[in-house]
Order: sequence, then structure tokens, then C-alpha cells
Amino acid sequence: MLTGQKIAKLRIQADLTQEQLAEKLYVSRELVSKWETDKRYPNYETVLKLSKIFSVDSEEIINKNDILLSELSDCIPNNYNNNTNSMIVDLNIFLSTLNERDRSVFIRRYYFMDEIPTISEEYNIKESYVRTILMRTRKKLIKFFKSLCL
Amino acid sequence: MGDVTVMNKNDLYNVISGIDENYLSRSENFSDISAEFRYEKSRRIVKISSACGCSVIIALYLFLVGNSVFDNKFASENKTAASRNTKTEIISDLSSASDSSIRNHKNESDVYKNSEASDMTENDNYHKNAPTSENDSKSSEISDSGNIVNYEKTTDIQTDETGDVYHIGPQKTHTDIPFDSDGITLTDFSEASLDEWLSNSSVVWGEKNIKGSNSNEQIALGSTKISDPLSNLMQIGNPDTIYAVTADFSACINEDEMRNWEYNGNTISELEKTRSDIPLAGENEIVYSDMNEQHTERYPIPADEEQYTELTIRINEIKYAYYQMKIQSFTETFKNNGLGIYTSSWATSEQYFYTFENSSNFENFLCSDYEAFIFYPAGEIK
Repeated sequence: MLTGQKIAKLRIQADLTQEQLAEKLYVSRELVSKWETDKRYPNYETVLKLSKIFSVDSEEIINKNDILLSELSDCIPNNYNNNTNSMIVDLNIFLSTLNERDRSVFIRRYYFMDEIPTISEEYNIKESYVRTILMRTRKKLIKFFKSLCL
Repeated sequence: MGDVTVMNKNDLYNVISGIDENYLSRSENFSDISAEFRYEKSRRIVKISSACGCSVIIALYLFLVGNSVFDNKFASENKTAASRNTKTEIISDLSSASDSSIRNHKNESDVYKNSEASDMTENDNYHKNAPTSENDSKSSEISDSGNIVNYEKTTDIQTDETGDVYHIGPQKTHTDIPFDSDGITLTDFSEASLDEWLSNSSVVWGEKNIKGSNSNEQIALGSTKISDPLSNLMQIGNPDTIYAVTADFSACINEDEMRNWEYNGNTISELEKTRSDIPLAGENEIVYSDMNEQHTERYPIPADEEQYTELTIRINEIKYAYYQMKIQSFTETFKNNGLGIYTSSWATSEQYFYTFENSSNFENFLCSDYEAFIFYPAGEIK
């Protein structure tokens, strides 16, 4: 079942209209509609809120791996036309530009798909710092791919 | 969201699976990586501790000299008051240099020192003026990223029943421009996330093709301007209408300063020089459309494209860091005007950011003498 269908099903089971769900999340009804039709994905924080409202595990709404892939997908400009093999090369070039700790945090998150608390524990750093590193690295990745499209 | 493509999930899996084995195995050296983090952190602590040590010596010296010359109760009381009012908080823990404001500073490594010490810092342009009254307070912080940020608050500060301090009306704020570029972080944000603003149907966005940095309009430092398109929108709305606004800060950019700003050991000017030394293999042209106009841009084809690209990426990185440093320095000003600062991944290299509030916030906006903003409708991000 697609993410949007899952959200719609859980909403109906909870006897909520799109409007009512939107109100609970402080978002617009239109956005709820977009989630349910898979035009957009809710971010991770919203997924956690949804899981509380529906009293289900967040994994039941959206697969964690899908969220991670969606984060990476957001880093790729739509005019980037290279095939998978070229992209592997580009990604490794990009990784070579990072310092070892940023590269390792990125890899733990997106290759090994470790949870942020796990990375935090493994490297003995605060979770907020892990998030910062990931955010910065994604921004660098966007810039890197954009520069390849010039 | 934004200028991105939705890539096939399997393709992305394949790409991720192609990460170099060497990198994968190195990421499992947890103790080594952890040691690198600790080294970075201790380096910063040593740096700040040295500054602290000097500060204590200077403070002690001033105290002794002050006491011997003005050995009276008045002088001693003044010193105590100044010390209380101008507490400087040094944040030495990089780990909190995250997505939060520069005032996010509750950790075990917080070090406190008094104002005399920070008066001696070379980047401190505003700290030397003493407070003029009991209600005026002035403080200086070294932010999570290690930059020194100074600010003044004037008298309109109140405390609510829960003890939280808040401001009535806009406050004139001075925020020092930090020159230490180590560990630049992106700071934000007000309570609502950008996603929440984007999905808020009551926000007025305006036209899609008006972008702040595309305007060549320049305004004087210390001033702000509401652009005509935004002004027109505001005439239609009511006082409670919230507008999505692009704040163009290009007037605050000093090109020379930026080009000679050192970031991770390089400056833009030296990288540009190196890049210009690369021999050219020819020239090409690209035609693009912007603001509904066709533009043709010629660009050189370098003989060593790899090196050229690498240098270009590095130059862009410095520009990005410089813009982020600038944006970070605006955070306090915007906060005191009741506004949050938002940046987005599709506008990371531009001289603008986004903010959301009603018209009075923009009409009564107060900035410091080295800040200047032009406000445009932010329709292009919707």
C-alpha cells in the first residue's frame, strides 16, 4: 500500500476528516490531500505526529528507508541527467570532498540507515550535532549536483 | 518540494550501494572518528580557554588598578553592576551548533566571563560603550559556531508571569559581524517550520516571478524598504494578514570583504586567481530564461575541467558560508522585530532569505547601521 493510502486509511479509521486532521497538525487541508494522493511526503516530524494521532508505529505510515531515500532524492536537481553508474561515480567524488567524520556520519545514515541516536552513540557526539552534519552535507550535495548541471 | 526530481527508488538504492568500500569500512572505525570529533572540540576549548585566561588576567588587573585609584564604594558598585549586566557566555561545545538559534546554549561546557574581557576582543565594535542606564543591557556571546555576537537591548523589556523575558515592539539591535569563519552554522528559526508556513493557507504569497536578488536596487545601510509589489499586496490585506516575504540582503554584502574572507584556509580572490590561471580550450554559450527574459551567457571551456570545477565548487562553498554567516548575524535583529529567518535548500547560494509576518512588522522594522533589507513578496517558493 502506498504511503498516501495508508494515511487516508488511518485517518478514516480514526474517524477524522482531512480538515480535522489538518487542524490537529496545524497544516492546511490541501497538504493533507497531497499526502494522501502521494503528491508530497510528510517529513519525519510530521510522521511522528501522525503516528501519535493514529496510535500506530511510525513505520506503519511510512517506511524509514523511504524517508531517507526521499531526503537524498531531494538533493538531486531535475536537470541532472546522468545514469546510475555515472551517479555512483559522482557520489563518490562528492564523498571524497568531505572530511572523514562528515563522510562517516553521512554513510552511517544513508548507507547503513542507522538511526540518529545510534550514530550519536557510536561517535560519542550529540544528536543535534549529527543532525547538523547531515543537514550541512545534504546542502553540500545539492550544490555539488547543481554544479555538475551547469 | 522545490527544484528536485523524484528518482526511482531502486536507482537510488543502486547509487547508494555503489559507495566506495573503503569509505564504508572507515565509517566503522567508531573510536577513530569519535577521537576526531573530540580533537575538534578540544581545539575549540583550548582556543576559548586561552581567551578566557587573558580575560581573567585583564579583568583582575583592571579591578586592582580601579580599586587603588578609585577606592570608594561607588566605583566598586558600578563594576559589579556592569559585570552583572554584560555577562558573556562562551559556548565551547560544537555539538549544539545546530539548527537552533545562537542563544541555544545550555550545556556542560558553558563558560562565563565578565564584560571587561570581551571589551578587548578585536572584532568587538559595539561593546565598548558602557550601558547608559540600569535598564539598558548589553551583552556579547560567542555563538555555537565560535563567532562573537554582540547585542544591545533598550528599555522595552518585560517579564511575564512565568518569568520569560519578552520584548514590546521592535528593538534596535546591534549584531557584530563575526570574522572567525570556523564552524559556520545555519541558524534559524522561529517556532513554525518552513513546511508549516508553506502549507498554511492563510499566508499571502504574491507573484511567483519576483525575486529579491534579481533586483539591482540598492539601499543605504541602516535602512529597509518594502518593495512596490509587496506594498501593493499589503494595501489589499488587513492588519492581521501574514505575508510570505523575501528579504534581500544584497546591500549588506561587501564584495571586497567577501572576496578576501578566509574560510577553511582559502579566500575567493586567491581561488579565482588560481582558476583564471587555468588555460582555456575554447568558449561556449548557454541560453537561459530568467524573469521571462532570454539571456545568453558565454562561458569558457577550461583545458583542465576537473580542476576548474573543483575550484568553482570551493568558491561557491566560501560564498555560501559567507552568506550563512551574514544571515546568522541578522538572526537577533529579526527576532527582535518579531520575525524568524528561513532559508531553504533551493536558495542556499542567494543573497536573500524568507520571513513571515504581518505588515506592521515590516513597516516598523528596525535594523542596525550595517544592515539593510528590501522586502519582496516570496511567491516563488510556494
